[in-house]
Amino acid sequence: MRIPTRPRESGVNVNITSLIDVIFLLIIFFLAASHFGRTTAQNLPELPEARSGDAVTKNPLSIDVNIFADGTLTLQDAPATLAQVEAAIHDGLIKHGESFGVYLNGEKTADFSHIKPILLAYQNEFLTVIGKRTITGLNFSVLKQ
Amino acid sequence: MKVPSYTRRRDSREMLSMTPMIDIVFLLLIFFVCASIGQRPLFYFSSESVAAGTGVDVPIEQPPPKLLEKIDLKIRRQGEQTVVEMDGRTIDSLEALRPVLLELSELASDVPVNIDAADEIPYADLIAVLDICRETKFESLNFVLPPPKGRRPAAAPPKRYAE
Repeated sequence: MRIPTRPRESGVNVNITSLIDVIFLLIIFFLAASHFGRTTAQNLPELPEARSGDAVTKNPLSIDVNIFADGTLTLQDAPATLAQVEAAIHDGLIKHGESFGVYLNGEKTADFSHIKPILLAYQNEFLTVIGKRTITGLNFSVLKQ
Repeated sequence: MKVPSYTRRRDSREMLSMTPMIDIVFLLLIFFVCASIGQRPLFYFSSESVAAGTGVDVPIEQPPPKLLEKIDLKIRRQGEQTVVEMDGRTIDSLEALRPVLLELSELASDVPVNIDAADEIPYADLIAVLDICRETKFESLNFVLPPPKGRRPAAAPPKRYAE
């Protein structure tokens, strides 16, 4: 009998390494894409930096008000006027009481004159609706230095 | 000469497949890029610790006489620089404010600090002053704002919100 001089080839050789690699690549791609999607959707202004600051869990019963350097406002990422912000604060306080909160995302180069109307609006609505003088629920967003 | 009846295959040990290596290199590259780009987390100055009362008519109870009743900080703009006025004294820079407040907080950190910012102050400078106050452990920080104007008539608040 003749002895074969080379190993016999198997029928089908499936290499799953590349498949796993590609699947991992896709998972990472979609994770990264959704992450950047969310970041862009927030459209935050360039926030000021601070050394202190609390890494608290964000209050779900809250609204986000962005204040840009040119004085434009957005409320929950949609362009808004001061009157709309006031109305949203009023409604929130009526609905949720002191559990309600406002996150103020002010651009670091914005003048205080653009921030002040929001503080005043919150103060007015809080005094009107809640009737307490000690104001709670106002948060200034900062980046950690 | 005898013609080989099959195409000669290279031994698998000689064959270096680059595909998995490139895949893994890309994976690592993407991982490190994503990790380095990672979004910076947001932190907050909440009004419970910072702006408890926006300085309109926050009642200040009269405890036994103290050396220091309150601290009034007036933040103003001089040219391109932000300065702080405190008890008639002008502090030229925000860096110079820190040791002053640190010294005062060692005396009495429970006194309220009233922050009166001019309209033209950049928001970052206001936050810097708040930051310094928090770092120096002052417990009560208030904004001085004009009294509420044109408030809508105070509708009777629902009972559960009434004090």
